[in-house]
Amino acid sequence: MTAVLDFTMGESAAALRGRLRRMVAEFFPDDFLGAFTDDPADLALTQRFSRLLADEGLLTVAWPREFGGSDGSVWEQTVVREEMWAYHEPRGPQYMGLNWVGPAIMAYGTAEQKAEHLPRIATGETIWCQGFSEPGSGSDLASLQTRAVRTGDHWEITGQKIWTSYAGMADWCVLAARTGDKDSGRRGISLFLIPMDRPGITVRPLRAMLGPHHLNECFFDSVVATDAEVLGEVGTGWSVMKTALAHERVGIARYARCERLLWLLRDVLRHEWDDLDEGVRNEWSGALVQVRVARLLAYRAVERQEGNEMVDLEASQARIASTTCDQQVAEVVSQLLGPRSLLGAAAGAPAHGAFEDHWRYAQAATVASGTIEIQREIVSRELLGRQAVR
Amino acid sequence: MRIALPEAALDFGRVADDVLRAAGGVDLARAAESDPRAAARAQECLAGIGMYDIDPRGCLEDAVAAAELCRVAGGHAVPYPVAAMLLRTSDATPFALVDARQPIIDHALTAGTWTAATLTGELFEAEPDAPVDSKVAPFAMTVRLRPVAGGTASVLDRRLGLLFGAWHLLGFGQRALQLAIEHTRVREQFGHPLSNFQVIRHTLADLSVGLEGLDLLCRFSLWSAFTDGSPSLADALSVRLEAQRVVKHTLRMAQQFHGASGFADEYDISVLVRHAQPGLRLPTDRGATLALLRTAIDEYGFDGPFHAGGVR
Amino acid sequence: MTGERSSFRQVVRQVLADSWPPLAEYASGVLPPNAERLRKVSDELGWWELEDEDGGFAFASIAIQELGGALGPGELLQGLCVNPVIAGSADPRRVACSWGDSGPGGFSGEVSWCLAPGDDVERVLVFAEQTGEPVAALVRSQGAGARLEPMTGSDPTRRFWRLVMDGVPPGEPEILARGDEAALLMSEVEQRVSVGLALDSLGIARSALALTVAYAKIREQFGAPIGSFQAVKHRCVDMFVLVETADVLVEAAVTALASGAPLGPSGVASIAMAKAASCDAAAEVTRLALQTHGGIGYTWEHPCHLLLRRAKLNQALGRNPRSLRRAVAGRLVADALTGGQETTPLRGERK
Repeated sequence: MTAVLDFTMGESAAALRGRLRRMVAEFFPDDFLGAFTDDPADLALTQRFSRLLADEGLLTVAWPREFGGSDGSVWEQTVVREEMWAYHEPRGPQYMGLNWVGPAIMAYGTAEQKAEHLPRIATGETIWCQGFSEPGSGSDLASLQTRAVRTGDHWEITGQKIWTSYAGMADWCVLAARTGDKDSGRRGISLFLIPMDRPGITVRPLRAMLGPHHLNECFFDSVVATDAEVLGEVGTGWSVMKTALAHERVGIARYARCERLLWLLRDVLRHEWDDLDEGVRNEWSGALVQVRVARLLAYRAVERQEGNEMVDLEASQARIASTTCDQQVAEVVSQLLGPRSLLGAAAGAPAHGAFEDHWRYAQAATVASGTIEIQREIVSRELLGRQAVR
Repeated sequence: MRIALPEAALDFGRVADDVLRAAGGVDLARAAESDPRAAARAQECLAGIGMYDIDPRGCLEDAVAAAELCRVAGGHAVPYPVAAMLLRTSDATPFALVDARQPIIDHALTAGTWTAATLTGELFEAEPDAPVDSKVAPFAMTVRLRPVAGGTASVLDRRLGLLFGAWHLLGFGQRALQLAIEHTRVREQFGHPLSNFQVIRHTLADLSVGLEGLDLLCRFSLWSAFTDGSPSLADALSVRLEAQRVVKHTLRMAQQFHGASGFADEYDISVLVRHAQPGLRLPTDRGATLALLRTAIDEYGFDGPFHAGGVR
Repeated sequence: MTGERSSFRQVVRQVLADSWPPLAEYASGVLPPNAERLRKVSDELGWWELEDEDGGFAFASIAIQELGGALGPGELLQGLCVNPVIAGSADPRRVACSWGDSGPGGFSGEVSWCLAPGDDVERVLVFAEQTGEPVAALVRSQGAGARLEPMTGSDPTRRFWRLVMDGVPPGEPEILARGDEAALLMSEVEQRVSVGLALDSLGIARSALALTVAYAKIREQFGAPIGSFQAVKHRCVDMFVLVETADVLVEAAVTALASGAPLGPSGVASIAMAKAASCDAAAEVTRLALQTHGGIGYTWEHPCHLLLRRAKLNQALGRNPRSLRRAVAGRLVADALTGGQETTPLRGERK
């Protein structure tokens, strides 16, 4: 008999969680804050860790066995998502390849594309980036202007991409370009799998408050692409993006890092805790509730996904909750720490700067990979039906 | 993991909803302000679908049915103390949580003597004294408390008292959102339905996020009330806190979207906003809930089952 | 005076235009920008002596606010705000200032977030407790047992210092005041810093609002300027209301300080209200500015994130908004209990 309600993930997921935590604790120094720092050793560390995960069969928990994965349950996948994000994404840039480039190639790639790319993603060898956003096309992604022009037996791609994470270190790019005419909208977009060392590609790093190496601009000047490099059919890029992104809809498990940091803060402040303002300590408790709400909304979307139901509404609701929770937690942390919350790692910041780092990233949570306004549009469309946007 | 409510509970909720709707829905609440017989009609409906056969302390399955009934009752602002009767201590003695310094019980006229408990577990017999005489608490009364010698309210009773209160508020909130959606779809200004305007759409989206989150938290804490053996009230208090935050805001925005009609009692939203107030404020306001939650977390933590297998 | 103040504002803006990078180019160079020229010009124009005249703070306040909006050098905040109360004690232009009590440890330990009027700091004003009574003293920043270290934080637009005292000889600090006099000086410095931060934040908030409105008009998505979308339009209005509300409270605090008279409880409360409202407003307005700008606001060259970071630090420095609000509430409660014997009403309070 199935339980009336049950909020446990099962033994294998629990065991996996313990295993991942131990591996991270053994592998990374206390001051690790992710791959995107001024110290190139951090990136190298994440690459080594990814290979270690691959050796242990843990890099592709989410993937089906036929592509080298371990066919993990959605709850095992959830555990991976949570633990990796909680500890500053120790897989570094591998995240992109594993979570959506790989699954997109599985779903839409040709046999050759699968053979070429999937094994190397599964072992953490290649780094991928995703060329979607453009200077003029952010929330309105379907208006993208990068052109792929048919020239003889191949394509020539010209245009500019922006906010491209990992582009400076990537070996490959999934590039969205317009193969239809100027006004073809969603129907005129195609995806290309392009090596980043191909002539005509220039990457310019964008310095940003998020820290070094993270964001880039990419310029494509008559970059040649073959038919064999088109992912899916020509003109189906939009639906490939949308369907493949289903793997990503639930989004980053931001609540996992939030919860870890709230308790870490409690530990950092243990000697002064009882003397701190009662009102702020109350808010700290309230933030834990928001973290739990965000977690449960994510779980609901995962459960729906497991049942192969459409999850647009649930996924967007989960994202709104987890991104706003990220900012709320950052705010509570800064109230509890006072000006210390704004000290950088080099200035003797508490927890090696983890709180300051979190605050900066949290500010971008409601903009990156789909602004909160777009999430609200999706939700309201589901609530109200499609109507004019204004 | 099983997050969805069992079909049996959902069915029961639908039956209750149909029966209450047939009895007049929010009209019952409207009538009760001047006519005490409305409460009796509500009670008949609830008895008819088997409310008195539920043993919410017995097992999670019954507790889920009871909680679902509270939610549905909230959606119609049923003028009857559903949660208190579900948690009754003898055949007809309803159970309510009170603030001992200022004991007030909603729908207090329904019974002569009540069993009342504070969140710390002190147990009392409560005699209704006088109506509070307020438009936002038409059925609430002050009560006189007599300590029950040696008596303590169990952890489960206090948990369920908080939880059923939260499910009840959830019903109010969900109904208010539904009313807001319906109203903004048909009401036109500047040549468009209100729901065409982005600020309204986005607010509705945010309200739905709040209510869905509350719904899940309600289910989670009900589950943990039966599976977590600690004496902690933290999970139950967290639901009350979230219910107070989310439902208060939802009612406010739904009323705002109704414009002036939101304040006219012919519109259901006006009645819902008023009748939800005792539940939002008793036995603790949001500040008091939060302070109690902090104390509970300080003492017992707030991990839930989500870190099983992991070392902190 | 209103007319004189607004012409002074024009002067300040002109000086900033001549000697300080505009926001659009602010972050293309080294941060914080070199302030030598601005310091020289402001010195020649007599900004540092503004308070020698009647109501001088009413003018200094304009400079502080405009400097905040231009992400100006932090040392001018210190110079314009704190110097007047320590004038005469030493060359105030070589004195850095700590805000608040360094604790019962006397002259040992660390004092963080000192603002200095320049790089050539000789002394730091420190408030400490010595033999059971408060003292205000100047500690030589590179003297025996003391050193001044630069602090790096999330806000790159200003330089802060940390005074590390580890074995300052007992006779070494130059005592400026003891007992009640020292306590008075400390609260005076604290209040001035509060108003200074409130002014700085108000400037920040105004700049963030102006940037956002301008961007909302030109940035197009879905074939229309984003400012035509209600979600963005209404957000701009919310930002405007926050700025204007803060403005009223900050102006009341400036009036209280500028009168030169000792501050009564309502003056103290008006300063607390100004610091809380303005610093909170700036933090929120800059956050909304960043949200409206999208990705571009996070890029280094864009001033949006710099405004946000400075606003966040202002909010955290000195007394935090929560304790300020509690102090205001405490005063209102005390007034209610004593039947409101104080005669000056709080701004916005009915008598």
